[in-house]
Amino acid sequence: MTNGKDYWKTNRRWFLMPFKIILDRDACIGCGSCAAICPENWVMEGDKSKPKKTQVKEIGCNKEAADACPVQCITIKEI
Amino acid sequence: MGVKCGFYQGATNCCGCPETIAIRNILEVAGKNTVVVNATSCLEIVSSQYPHTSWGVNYIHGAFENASAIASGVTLALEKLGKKGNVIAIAGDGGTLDIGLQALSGTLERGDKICFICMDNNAYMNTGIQRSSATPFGAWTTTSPPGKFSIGEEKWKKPIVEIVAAHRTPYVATASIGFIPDLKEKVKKALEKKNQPSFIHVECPCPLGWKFNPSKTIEIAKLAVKTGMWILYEIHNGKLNISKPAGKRKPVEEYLKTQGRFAHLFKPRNKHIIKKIQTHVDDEWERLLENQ
Repeated sequence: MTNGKDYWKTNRRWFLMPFKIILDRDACIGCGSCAAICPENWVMEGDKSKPKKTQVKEIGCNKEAADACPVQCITIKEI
Repeated sequence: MGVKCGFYQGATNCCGCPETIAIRNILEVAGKNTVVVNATSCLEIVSSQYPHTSWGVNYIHGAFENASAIASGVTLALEKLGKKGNVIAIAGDGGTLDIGLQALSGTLERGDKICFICMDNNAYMNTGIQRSSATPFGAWTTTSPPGKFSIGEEKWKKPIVEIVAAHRTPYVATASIGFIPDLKEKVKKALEKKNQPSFIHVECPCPLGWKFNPSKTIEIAKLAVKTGMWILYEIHNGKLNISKPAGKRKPVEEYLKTQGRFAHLFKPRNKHIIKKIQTHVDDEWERLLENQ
């Protein structure tokens, strides 16, 4: 495909930010648990919540937000 | 948790319990300038274990029966001191429908400005799932066990919302944990009432007592509304307004089969009970539509 140097260039984001945050907006009930536990990355936008960043370097409190969600609509993937 | 929170982490409630979610959202609407009066209930047990507390607002715990009477006193004290603030009384279904009914009736009759919130989990859960007058027809509890000669709970649920509305209370509403924006809006409306009481009845599914998987709490709360077992409506200055479910209802079997406490109703000898429940739900729905 590509040699080492180019691979690093094209997929730089993957190496720097290995965690992807996925929110199922249809399932979200807008309880605000994630925004209360992890205000660094979660805000309430009207009736639903929204992540400020969908790809992050470190999980941090996002893991706790995902655990606290009563409908399990937050998933964190490691790429 | 955030500074705007009135309810902090560390509450010791069971996995899958929705009460703390409800409280956090209610206090988010009410704001920091609030006094919470709590009757003995699951909520009191989980939120104020000595020497810790989860409350970020002023909090009083009274006896089982007098949450609304204490709230009345707090309102008068605030008035005398010349201070302004919301007074919210929170009780469980036992503390509202059974034991606290006389104190609640007195408060409504005097017309003190309090917002009474009933967190209904359908039985006395923290003492070991004994039946209360909020337990639905046909449900299993430890004091209404189903068997050869019994179908579980044999009485219908007490119509507390109508009892409160009969006191000419200006704002009475039912809410569900499955519809948080709706709950928040109703709390906002209730707190806007000046010098008059208001009442909100919130249904909170209990994974322990209703016997379901803790991850399904919100799903079951939503299903209760969609099947019509729990109808969301408000009575605003005597005018009844149904908020949900809009449109066609699902059959009650879908709701009943999700919970272990209704498992005995699916035995061949109890099939007629499900039909009875469906008829009751249909009648209730039609009665509310007529009064609208």
